[in-house]
Amino acid sequence: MQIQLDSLSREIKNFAEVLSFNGLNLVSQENIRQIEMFLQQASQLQAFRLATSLRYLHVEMDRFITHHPAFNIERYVFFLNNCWLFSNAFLAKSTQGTPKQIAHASELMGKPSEPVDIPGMKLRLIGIEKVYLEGAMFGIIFHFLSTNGELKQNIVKLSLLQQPKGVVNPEVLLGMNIPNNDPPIPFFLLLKKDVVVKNIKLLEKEATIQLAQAPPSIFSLSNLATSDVDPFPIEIFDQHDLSLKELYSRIHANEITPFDASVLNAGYLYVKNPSLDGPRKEGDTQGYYQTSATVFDVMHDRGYPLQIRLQVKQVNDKLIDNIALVAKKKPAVKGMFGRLTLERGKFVLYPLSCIDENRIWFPCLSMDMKLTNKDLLQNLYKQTKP
Amino acid sequence: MDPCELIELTSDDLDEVWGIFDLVKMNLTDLLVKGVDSAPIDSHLPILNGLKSRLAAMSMTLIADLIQNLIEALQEYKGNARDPECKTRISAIMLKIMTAARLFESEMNLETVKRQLVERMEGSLCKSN
Repeated sequence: MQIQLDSLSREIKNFAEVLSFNGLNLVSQENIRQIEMFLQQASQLQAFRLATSLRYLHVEMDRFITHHPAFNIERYVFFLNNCWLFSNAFLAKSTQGTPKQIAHASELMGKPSEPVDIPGMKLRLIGIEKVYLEGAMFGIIFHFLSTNGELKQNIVKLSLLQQPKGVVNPEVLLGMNIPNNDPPIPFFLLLKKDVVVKNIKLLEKEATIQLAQAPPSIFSLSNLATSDVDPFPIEIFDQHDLSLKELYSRIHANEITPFDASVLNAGYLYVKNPSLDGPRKEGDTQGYYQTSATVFDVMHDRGYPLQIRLQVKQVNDKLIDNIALVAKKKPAVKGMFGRLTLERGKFVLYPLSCIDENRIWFPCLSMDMKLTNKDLLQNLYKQTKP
Repeated sequence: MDPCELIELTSDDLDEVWGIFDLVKMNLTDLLVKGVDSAPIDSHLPILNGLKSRLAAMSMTLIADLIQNLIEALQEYKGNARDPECKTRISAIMLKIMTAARLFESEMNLETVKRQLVERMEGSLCKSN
C-alpha cells in the first residue's frame, strides 16, 4: 500500500506543479478527469484528507471551467497547495517508524475514528447551522448536548447533508422525516423538545453521531402529549461561558500545522447578555475573491473583543437578517451560543442559537417551520435557472 | 520574525505585517492562477523584488528568502526556457511560499488573539490592584 501511495503522491505532486506553472488558463476537462482518477485512488488507499482536498480542488476547477460565479480563487489555491503538501508529506514519511511517527502518518491520512455503538442517549438541540457548497453539497448540521450518561455535557453533531438538486435553502430538509423512524418524526420537531435516541453510532474523535441502519436508530420526543415545547435549562450553557483566563488556556493549547486553514476553530462559546453593534459591511464583493462579509461587534461582560462575521451569500441571508433584528433590541438577547473561530487575529462567533427568556431559537432558520410534504418535494426538486 | 515576537509590535506594526502578508498572498495567487508564462519573465521581477525588500525590512526572512529563490529560478528559466527542471523548481518554490505564508498566517492569527487576551488580563489585574 505504501508503494501505491508513494506512486500516487508522485503523480499528484507533479500534477500540482504543472498546474501551478501553467496557471488556470490551460486547464481542460482532461485535468478534471485526472483529479477524479486521483480522488478515486486516494479514497481506495484511505488517504482521506488528501481525497477531501482533491474533491474541493475538483469543485473549484470545475467551477472555473464552467465560468460559475461561485468560483473562489483563494479556495482553489488553498486546495491546490494542500494536495501538493500532502503528496510531499507522504513521500517524505514512511508508515514504519516510532509510535509517534506512525500516529502522525495516520493523522495525515485522516482515517475517521471507528464508530462506537451507543445504546441510548438523551439529547437537547442547542445549535443549528446551514451548509451550502454550490454544486457539491447542502444541508443542516445539528449540534446536540448530551444530557445523560458518560457523555453528559458533551456536544455531538449530526449532519444531514445531501447533493444539491437545485435547492438553495437547506432548511427544506427539516421537513423530511428522520429515516426509518417509527413513528415517523420530521427533523423540525427536534427543535424544541428533549430527545431520546436509541441505537446510535458515535465517532468519538469527530464528536459526531451517525444514524444506524440495522437495527435503525430510533428517536422519540419526550412529553409529546403535554406540550409542544420542553422548558430549556439555560444553565447547560454555563460551561461555555468562558472567562479571559479560560479562553486563553483553550487558545494556548492549539497547535498549528501547515495543513491548517487560515480560520482556526476554537470550540464553542456562550455569551451572556450580549449587545450588538452593527451591521456593517467589510471586504470586497468584486472579482474572484468574494471576501464580502456582514460584521457585528459583540459587547459583553467577559471583556474580550468579539465579532460576528457572516459571509455575504444566500445561505446566510436569514442568519444575517435575524442577527440584525437582534442587534436592534436592547437588551439584545439573554444569551448567544455559537462556534468560536480565530480569523486574522480576531475572535469571531458564528451564532448557532439564541436564548430569550428560557426559550431557545435558531437564527439561521426562518421562523415558519410548517412545511407540508408537497412544499418539501417542490422545494427539493425544483430546477433553478442557470 | 517569529510570530511569538508579535508581543513587542505596536498595532500599526501589526497592520503593516498583515498588509505585506496580504500582498505576498495576492501576488503569488495571481502568478499561480495566470501562470508563469502569462507575461514576460522580466515583468514579474519588480513586484517580487519589492515584496522581498518589504519582507526583509519586517524581519520576515523565511518568506523573503523563498522569494529571492523564486527570483533566481525565474532568471534561470529566462535563459533556459526548455528545461523542465527549471519549471518544476519554479512551481515548487511558489507552492513553498504559499505554504510558508499559510503557516505564518495561522501562527500570527493565534499569537495576535493571545496577545489581546494577555493585554486584557494584565489590564484587569492593574485595575484590581
